[in-house]
Amino acid sequence: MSTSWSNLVHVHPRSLLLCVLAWAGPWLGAGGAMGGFLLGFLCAALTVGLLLWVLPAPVAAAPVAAAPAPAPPGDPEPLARLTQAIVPLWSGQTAHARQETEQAVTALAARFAAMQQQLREATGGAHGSAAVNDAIEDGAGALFGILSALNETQDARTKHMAQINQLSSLTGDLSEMSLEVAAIASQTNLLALNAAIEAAHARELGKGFAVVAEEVRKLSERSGTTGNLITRRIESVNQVLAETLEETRAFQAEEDAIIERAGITINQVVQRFGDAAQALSDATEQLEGVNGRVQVQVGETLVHLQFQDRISQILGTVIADMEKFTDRLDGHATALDVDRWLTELAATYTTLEQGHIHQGLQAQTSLESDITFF
Amino acid sequence: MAKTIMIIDDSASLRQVVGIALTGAGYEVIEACDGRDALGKLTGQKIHLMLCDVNMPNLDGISFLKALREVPAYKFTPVIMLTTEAGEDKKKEGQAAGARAWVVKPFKPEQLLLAVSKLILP
Repeated sequence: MSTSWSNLVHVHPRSLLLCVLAWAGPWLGAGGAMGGFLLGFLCAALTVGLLLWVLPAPVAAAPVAAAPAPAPPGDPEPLARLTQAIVPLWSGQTAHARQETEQAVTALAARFAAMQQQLREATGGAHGSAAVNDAIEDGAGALFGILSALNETQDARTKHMAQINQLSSLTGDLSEMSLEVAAIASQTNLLALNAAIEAAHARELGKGFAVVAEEVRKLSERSGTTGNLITRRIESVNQVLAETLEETRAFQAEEDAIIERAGITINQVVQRFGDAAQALSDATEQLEGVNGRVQVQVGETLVHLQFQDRISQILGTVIADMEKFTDRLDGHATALDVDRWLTELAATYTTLEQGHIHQGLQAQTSLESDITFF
Repeated sequence: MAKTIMIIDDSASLRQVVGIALTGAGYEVIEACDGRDALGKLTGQKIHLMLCDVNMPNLDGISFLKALREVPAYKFTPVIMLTTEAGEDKKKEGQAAGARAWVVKPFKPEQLLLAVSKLILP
């Protein structure tokens, strides 16, 4: 270590470390909770260094022998050795902390990405309730369609009954007509009998007429027999029609009851499914609301996770300046221009906050997007 | 057919944050960790927009942008600079190099998406 370096470490490095401590802390503190760890580390390290430095309180350009514990001849000044040894350590530790923060935040971002994906998938599943509603509506439509078809069948059966009733009345007419035929046959028989009597009174001359009267009587008998037969057949038909009508009425009553019960059951089932679908829809809506709020929060968290990039930039500047400082120690600098150093440092800033802190202003990180279109 | 956006940033977490926002909006994403990596990944495929950091190792954002404009296929690809740099001089430098917008981190995903939708190629 040269004499000029001894002067340097007694005067200028003190100013430099004070400067480093002054600007490094607030930058890191502005970074958020994880930045707080780094801030603590850096401030503690820099404060220890500063105390070690300040306690001897040597006078500028004072000879080494004036220090409380003078170093033996030929031995580098202890503070210079300490600085030379410790600054690379600070730099290394800071770089390590920067790397660990990057890894942790990357892992955190990956987890949030997975969470957001799961939330999207959950929302996609919740949209399935709309399909359930559609299926219930389709099912209800089909069931009511069946009910409508049953009602139409019922109407058709009622028409058939009306036709059977009409047929029954027709057979009544036929029955009256058959009775009329029987009455005519009876009258004809009586007429034939009177003709036979009159033919007997005419003796020999009435023989031919007696034969005709006999044939007429036979025909009237056959007519009467046929009339009776028709009457019996009509009565049989009437009986069958009456039985059919009775059975149809009973069947229709049963069918009416079945259709009515079916209608009630279908309405109940549709109502239950509708209620279930409504409950599902309400739950889905609630889930979507929660999902949306969580997604907003995840989005906001992701915005805050960007602090890592800013911290990384700031720490990069700190590390670079530490390395520059170490290089100057190794380079046996004859003099150090503090103002120039600070100007060069300011030129490396990437954030507005760094500039504010450099000017002794309060640093505040805005979360409002600053977008400029060209 | 989803549009493709390339994110160029040396911060893996930032690439993820931006990637989440873009994929959530239906875009396909290609990632590159710096300008040199990005140039290596330009294989002539259609890229509808690029989001590029400024301060990166190997090849910084402004230098990448200048190199990109030398590649005929990407001469007019819109590039949004996404950076912590808020200085007007840097912005002008980016504009001169051919950037279409300058977004200062931190950004809100919805505002980034708005800028993307405004500038992305059809």
